[in-house]
Amino acid sequence: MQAEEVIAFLKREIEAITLGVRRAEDISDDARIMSDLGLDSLDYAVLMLNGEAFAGVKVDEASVEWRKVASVAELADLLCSSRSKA
Amino acid sequence: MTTPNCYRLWIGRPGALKAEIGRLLGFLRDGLPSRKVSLMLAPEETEGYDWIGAGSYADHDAEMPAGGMLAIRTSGTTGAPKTVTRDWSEVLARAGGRGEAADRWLLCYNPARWAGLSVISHVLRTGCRLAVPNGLDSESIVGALPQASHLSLTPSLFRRLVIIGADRLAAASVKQVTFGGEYARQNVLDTAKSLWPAARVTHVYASTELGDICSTSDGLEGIPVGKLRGRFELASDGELLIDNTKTGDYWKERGGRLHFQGRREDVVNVGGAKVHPSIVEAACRSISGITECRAFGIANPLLGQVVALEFTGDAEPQFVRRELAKRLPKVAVPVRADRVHDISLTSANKLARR
Repeated sequence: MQAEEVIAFLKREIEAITLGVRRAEDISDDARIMSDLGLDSLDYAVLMLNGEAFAGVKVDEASVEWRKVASVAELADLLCSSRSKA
Repeated sequence: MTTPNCYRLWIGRPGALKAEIGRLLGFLRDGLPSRKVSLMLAPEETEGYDWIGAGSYADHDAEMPAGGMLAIRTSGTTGAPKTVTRDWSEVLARAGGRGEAADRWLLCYNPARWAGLSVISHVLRTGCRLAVPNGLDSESIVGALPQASHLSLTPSLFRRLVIIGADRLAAASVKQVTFGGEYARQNVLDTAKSLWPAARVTHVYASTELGDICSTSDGLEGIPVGKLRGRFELASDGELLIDNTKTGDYWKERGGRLHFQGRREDVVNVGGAKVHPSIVEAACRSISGITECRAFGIANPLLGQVVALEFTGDAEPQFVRRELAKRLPKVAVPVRADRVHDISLTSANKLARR
């Protein structure tokens, strides 16, 4: 799956999670999910879970470098580089 | 000293329940009181247990109880399975409560479990009758309702029976319904009362380890503190201790009653915040369009665990999440709500935890 598709999905999800306060078209790829967009850790967990389902992958907790998955693009990269569920 | 014959009974095979109960009752009426035999009961899913046998079991002899004793293998659904041994004559002596010869108790529990044995010991003690369904599945139990005047069952099984046959339940002449095995919330008690207005509705708190602890029939959920006065203590984290023994159950005192919060093993740890699935399930069942539900923890790389939910009914998953967000703290709102075809119960007729 292409990173662009995942990024677009994540932006739509962020719009849904924030109940439209953050509109998908206004979110930049580099926007930091928690500090810039105001999502809390639970919102982030939901975003990641839905991202896993969309990309058909399972993120390996042990391999995540959390400081490198702050932005929308970085989370998309993590999802694209994670192993397929199958 | 004569070595007693040690019997192992494996109960709950499809189609064999009535015959198995007949043999079990024979042991409980004659064999155990004479102390010539002992019994070990195993639920159907336990491997390595034959239907019945006597004498030497070299690989299990250390587990076998002395004559007159009854050993019950716990389900292990909330931890490692263990064997609890009781003196049958004491169990029988403590089986109290009212009873008349005309009472007909419907067996809804596996008799290889403490709850099932409680019903049987009550029947033997009071001289009333035991109605045995063809099987312990919901349809068989609903089918046997016309034979019964008294019911003892879990709230989960009751909800299921209501879903599949509320009309047939209402048509039964039920005089007593006793909820046990799980916490009975107010809507369960109210539903039972609406089905059988003249019935006495009781809920009991018991455990395999401690036996029957108390019962309440005032139509309200929770245990009145007075019922346990002098016997209980709530630890700082909310765990209930009875006679200084940890129960593994978390309760909260409110308005002179103890209200169940959840089991220690079921707690979902969401980034350090503890969420009791039973609280999530209670909120979920209050949503229109939900017939049954189960909350549980799933692994999450960020928070360790998050809450997930499965439910049956015609509500839309997003609607369910939105409604729960209004009713629960954010940390307890399921990150995922999946509508499923069926939610299974354990062989003890409790919600199956993951």
